[in-house]
Amino acid sequence: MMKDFLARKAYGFWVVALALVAAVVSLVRYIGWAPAHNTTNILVILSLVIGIILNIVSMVRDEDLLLVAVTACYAFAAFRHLADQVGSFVDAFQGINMFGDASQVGNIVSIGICMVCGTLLAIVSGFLKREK
Amino acid sequence: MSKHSRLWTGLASVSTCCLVLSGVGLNCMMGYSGTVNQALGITTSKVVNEGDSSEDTTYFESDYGELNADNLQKLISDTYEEAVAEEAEGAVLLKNDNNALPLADTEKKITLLGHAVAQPLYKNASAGSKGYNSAEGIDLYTALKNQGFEINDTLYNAYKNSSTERGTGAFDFVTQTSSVHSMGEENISFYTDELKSSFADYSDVALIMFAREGGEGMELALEDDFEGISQLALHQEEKDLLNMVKESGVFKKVIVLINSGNPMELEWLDEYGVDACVWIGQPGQRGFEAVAKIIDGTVNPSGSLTDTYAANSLSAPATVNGSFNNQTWVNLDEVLAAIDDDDAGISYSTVQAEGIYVGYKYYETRYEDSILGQGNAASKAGSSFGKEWDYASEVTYPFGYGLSYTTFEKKLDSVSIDGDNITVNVTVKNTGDTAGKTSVQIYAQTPYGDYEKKNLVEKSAIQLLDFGKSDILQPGESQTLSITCDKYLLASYDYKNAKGYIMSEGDYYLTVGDNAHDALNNVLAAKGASQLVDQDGQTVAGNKANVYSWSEKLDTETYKVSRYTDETVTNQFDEADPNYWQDGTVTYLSRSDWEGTYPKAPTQITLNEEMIKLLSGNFYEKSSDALSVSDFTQGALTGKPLAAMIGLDYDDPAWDEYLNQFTIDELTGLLSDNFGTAEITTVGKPAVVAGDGPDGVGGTYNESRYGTGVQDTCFPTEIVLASTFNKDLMYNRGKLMANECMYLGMEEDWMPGVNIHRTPFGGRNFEYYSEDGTMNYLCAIPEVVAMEERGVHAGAKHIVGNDQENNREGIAVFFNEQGFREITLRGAEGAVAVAKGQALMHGFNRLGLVWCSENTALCNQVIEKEWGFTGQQETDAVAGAAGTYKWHLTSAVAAGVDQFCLDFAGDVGRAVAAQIKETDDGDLLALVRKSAHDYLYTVANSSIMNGYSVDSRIVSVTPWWQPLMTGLIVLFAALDALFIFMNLRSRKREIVEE
Repeated sequence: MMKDFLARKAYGFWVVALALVAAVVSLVRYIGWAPAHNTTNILVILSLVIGIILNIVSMVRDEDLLLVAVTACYAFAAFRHLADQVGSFVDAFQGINMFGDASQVGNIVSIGICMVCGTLLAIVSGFLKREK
Repeated sequence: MSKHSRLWTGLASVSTCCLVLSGVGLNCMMGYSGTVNQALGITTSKVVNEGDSSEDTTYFESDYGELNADNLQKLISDTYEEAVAEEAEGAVLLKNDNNALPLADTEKKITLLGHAVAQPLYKNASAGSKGYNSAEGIDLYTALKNQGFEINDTLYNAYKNSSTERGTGAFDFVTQTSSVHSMGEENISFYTDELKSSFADYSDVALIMFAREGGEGMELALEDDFEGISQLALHQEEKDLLNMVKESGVFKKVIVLINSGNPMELEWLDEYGVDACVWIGQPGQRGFEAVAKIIDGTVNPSGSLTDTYAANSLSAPATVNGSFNNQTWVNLDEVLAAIDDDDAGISYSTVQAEGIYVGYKYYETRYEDSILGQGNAASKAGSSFGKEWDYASEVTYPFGYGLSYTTFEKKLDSVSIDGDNITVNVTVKNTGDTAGKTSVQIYAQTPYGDYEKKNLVEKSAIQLLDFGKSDILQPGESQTLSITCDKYLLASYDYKNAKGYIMSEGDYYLTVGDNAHDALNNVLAAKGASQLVDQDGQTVAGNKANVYSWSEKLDTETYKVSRYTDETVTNQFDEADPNYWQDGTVTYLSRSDWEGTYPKAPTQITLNEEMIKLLSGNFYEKSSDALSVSDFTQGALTGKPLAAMIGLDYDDPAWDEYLNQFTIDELTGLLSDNFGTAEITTVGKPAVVAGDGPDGVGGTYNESRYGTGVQDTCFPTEIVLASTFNKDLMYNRGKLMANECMYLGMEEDWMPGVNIHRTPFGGRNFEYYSEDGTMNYLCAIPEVVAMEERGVHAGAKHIVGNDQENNREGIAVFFNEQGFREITLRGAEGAVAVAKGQALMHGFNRLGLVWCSENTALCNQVIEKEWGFTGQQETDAVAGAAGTYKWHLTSAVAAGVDQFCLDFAGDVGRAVAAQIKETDDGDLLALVRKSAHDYLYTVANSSIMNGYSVDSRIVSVTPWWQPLMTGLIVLFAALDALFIFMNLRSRKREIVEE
């Protein structure tokens, strides 16, 4: 059954799957990092969780608008996360430690990159054929 | 699924992503709107005058007349001139063997060495102007070229092309670490034979520049990551460089420039054959012009050190507990478990066991006691070299030290005392053959007798009393300076017995000296001491003819009452002394027994239940008989604008009527500072912008209005200004910065920095004046007066005890009240109480266990009642502070805080408004009304009100980026809808076709 299911899928499906992987990695990393630095934004977590659920659904039932919704969720998580950390970027650029935590810019950016990857993969999958 | 359908899906996803980006971006920009507007040079309100157009609404006039493009150019030109003058008079000639400097006209071929020549340190990382990074900045290379020197470009270009970089604290993405401890010097292998061969053609002078860099939040290391030694010590790569220069035998002269706001250890100058050395501090964007002029003799240096340069930077007793020797609580786990606040802000403490013995007050006092054979001064305790403590071994250059290309004779002509005024007349004569100026430093010694020993009233053997600066004197020319000193500065704070300031009984000595050590030798000579030495260990006689002596009776009354108000000045900070909680926790350094009291290890403290309660803060509670919100009138608009309050007394009843117009949300909104506050049109309150920086206010001129979009000037750092010992330059700095603020629409600037150089390692020592509280006091006054005279408020920072960057957020600073009042607090007293600065910023730290901004003793008792302060008290930055000790909002407001610094999104205001409304707390509303009153009083009486009259209307100006962002949101939303529609239509067609 699974074999049949996968046999029906085109390359776009795998891009959707990769978006899911990126989002899960993002969620795990964010949950592992943000609470320890007192920067947890529940909206970021919610948008990732909702996006992941929709992403899974879209893999079972191919639906264009679901992918648009997945994109919205992942994009919101990515941009909200980066916007939340403006203080750390300011510190890093100014060479000071005041508004955020300059030492966390590496983590902030790498988590943000994971989220942006999920977003871009979701966008790209929209252009691609996902079922044969 | 057709190709068309996929296309519309993909495009819908793209537009959705852009829509989300625009939405989040706008939300973020709105949260930081003040910062965004300031960066873009946007003011969010404008005035519309509808009344009598002939009415004079210029309450504070620019020194340059009308604000226009031509006058701004004059101002900019003057700031550059001032910057060069400050560096010219602030740079300190430390060594000049055989008159190596100035260079002769024939000595024009220079090789610049040390990576810092290609990466000059204009200032450390901090707030304020970054003008040095602009086209208007001048580096050492350019300045020397402009002065006619020929420079070895082969080596200079190699430095420029090298990947070596001094650490700036910027985050390193590759190593995932901060580069704060990077020394940035080239390895000796960098100097290839090819590079060395270039020396021969530029061999008149080897000009070596070494830098040491800290910054905001970045303390210099007591033991760095590279060699495990003080960051202020000479490091191996620097030694290798010096050896290479010495062993090359190519250069006729070796000159070293010290490009640092922290005192490097400089005992090595002779060892490496250095002919001359100049401390240049951090020259800002134009100061290198002066450095080049000092080198060629166009300028004769006249700066004097405002720090003691110790042979061993770790030898100051303050380093035992300070800087990176902060401690965590012994029962840290218990403390963390008991307090909800973020751990970092409640974990660290430092004990100022050194008391008043900071900087020269330690080294010079110990010197006197070792000369006089008292107090076990010659013991090994605190000695850097494992032998008996010896002044000449410990000190390389004393406080106030500085050479010139000429020599001066200073004669104390007369001293007269009239009440608190001590008038000192000093005649200065240029006895050399080069024109030049010199500082006139007045010092004093007060008695250390039985009363003081019994009651632990410590006395510095010598203390700066005041200073002046001569004009440029031609060879043989004389000038008599009359300097009026303040006797109050000779009083000592007796925290044990009198619990107030006292004038000690006994003999007082006043002298003029070339530096603190020279002055002390004069006093010692007058006291008949022998075997005096200078900082090099050479025997000197001291000049007792330059000493004036008089006697005083014990006086515990004169200064018991504040000289600024009628408030009694007495102990307020007993709880900040660890011995208050448990006797014997700390032994304060005392000259009665140097050996027995020199701190041996950092003091560790265990917090009991009561102490933990204090540390946890949040003291405000609504009282059972609190007023109701309904007891106040809010939102009752009468049409009275802020302009109607201009010039009214703070206590004028009209203020109540004015404040009644505000809604609760508008009042609490004023608690949130975002480099200023937004306009409130209903009450005629304009948008307010604030600058931030002791060395440059930090702004960009409006090009469309003034024809130039350059940044304001980055002056030499504050320590360089202090080193000029020239109050005229200090006043002029304040005057020019105030005028810059007028052009930038700024109501205030957060300056000057009034903390002290408690240890040589302070990351922000560069933007504080000195190691001496009295020096800070004296320097702050002219700057602040000049600002306030022009209606631009000078907000001294960081009040108080914020003398280190390591763990600065929340560190518990313990002390005794003598050290606190005479050293720590003194600079702030000058800026606030004497100069009447109408704004001030608190420190991040705690006084004892209580955060400065929650500390009623500081904010209310000392600042408001003792100093008579009326104006704006602001916290240090609270951005992202929710969940930390800085989020004790109501407690801070109750203590006297008027605004919370950099609350970008206005969270403070909303939180306090919610508490007022939800708990019907009229008392809290009254406190917020006072905060608003304090702040608006300063705004009303500032130059920002120029152009406003009672007939003016404040009109909001929407920044251009807001409609732009909104337009993008609408555009992407429309595209999104369109693409989704097209997708659906395409799919419908497919179904129909199937």
